[in-house]
Amino acid sequence: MQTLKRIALVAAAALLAATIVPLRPVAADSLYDELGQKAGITKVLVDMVGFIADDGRINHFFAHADIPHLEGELVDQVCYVSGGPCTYTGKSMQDAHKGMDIKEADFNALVEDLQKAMYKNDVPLPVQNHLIAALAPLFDSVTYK
Amino acid sequence: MIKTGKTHLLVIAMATFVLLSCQAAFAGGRLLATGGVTQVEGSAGAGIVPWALISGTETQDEVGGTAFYTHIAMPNYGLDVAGASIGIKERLELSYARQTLSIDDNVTTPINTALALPTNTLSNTTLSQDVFGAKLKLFGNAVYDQNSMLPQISLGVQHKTNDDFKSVLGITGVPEVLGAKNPSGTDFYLAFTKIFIGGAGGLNLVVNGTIRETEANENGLLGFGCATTNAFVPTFVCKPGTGGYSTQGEGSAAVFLNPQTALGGEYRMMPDDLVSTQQDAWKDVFVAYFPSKEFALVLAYASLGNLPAGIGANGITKEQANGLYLSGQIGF
Repeated sequence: MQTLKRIALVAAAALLAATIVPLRPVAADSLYDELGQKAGITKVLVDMVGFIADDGRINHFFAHADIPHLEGELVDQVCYVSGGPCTYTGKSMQDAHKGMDIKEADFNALVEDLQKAMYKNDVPLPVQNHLIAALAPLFDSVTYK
Repeated sequence: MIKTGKTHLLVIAMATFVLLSCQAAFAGGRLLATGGVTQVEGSAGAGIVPWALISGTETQDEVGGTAFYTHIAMPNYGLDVAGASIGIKERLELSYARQTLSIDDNVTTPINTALALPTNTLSNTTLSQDVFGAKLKLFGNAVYDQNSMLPQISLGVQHKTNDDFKSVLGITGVPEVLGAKNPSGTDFYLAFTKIFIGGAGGLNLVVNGTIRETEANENGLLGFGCATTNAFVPTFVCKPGTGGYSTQGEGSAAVFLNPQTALGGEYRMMPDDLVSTQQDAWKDVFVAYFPSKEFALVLAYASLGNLPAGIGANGITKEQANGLYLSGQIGF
């Protein structure tokens, strides 16, 4: 009985901790602003594409890519995901990555290149984290296709 | 005291570890810190609580692992733990750890005298145990599932064998005198871990809850279960209404101040079955530092609750065993 009470207490505390911390405390539209709107997003993503080009782990995926087109699509997508006034008109994520067999390590390598690009552009850590949280669910639609 | 058999076991474990680390040359695809550190029983987690994360730097296509050493320095006790783990495809974790609790002569000398044993019989007393662990990730992904509240959930087992149940004095050992029933036991646990990216005012938050079925006294260092009769001290038996497995709750929370540094705290309930001792919850507050995927350092202030401090007029006296916790991990 004593044990059950203690478990209930621990569970209640954990639940409380989980509810007072909302999943994404910053509203979606302010993430777009915090990233510096379209200009800021473009700078980060152009730098990211540069880091990817030098990243031996994943640059082979982009060997035949039309880089300006890719940059445009990435900017549109991040603009859209962060709540900005953009529409992503490219292929669905599943279709765009079909047959590429992108693995978890490849996805993570791209995340690291994105982080490097955000650091280079002095994006504050909370803004970096919010963008990564917004993009993380893409894992399922991008990898192992 | 390390016996030859145990030494062989350790050598085999280390050889397996080295062999697998060669085969897993391509591990390292995981994001920084997402394998956690190694807790006192050798499982991936924080300091004292196992988490649902699978150890190592591997992804679901790779094999990785860790090796670690932990020391907790308390006024009259020291706990040393060394071990290694293999993480297979971010699905299965196999681990080994050896714990040694050193007891200061401040504690043992009065007991030595009270029991009228030859001088220094109990000097340099240590209690050691082996912990073999396995952890299977059932479902969920603590990192990528940011659009849902569902945690990563893993099922774990820790099989422990105490070497010193019967070894001191050539007659019996500390756990048996204190009323423990068995020299070995097996814990089962379910761990729920969620990383909320940006979840603490923009900083990354890790929340973990673990439910454990156990009959280990002080995590097994004082043996397993409790005896209904005791040939050495007749009163040192089960507390009324205790004995056998009980369910214990454990929790951890940590915030990453930056990608390399996490600040956290933990709480771990313990069974309290032995009349001879008073087992309290274990707790800690910690700072974990990840300079790279391959290295982690943990500095903590830990409390292992009340441990025996000697013999007084009313029997065994107790004191809070609190102290500095230092742990280093290499991962591949």
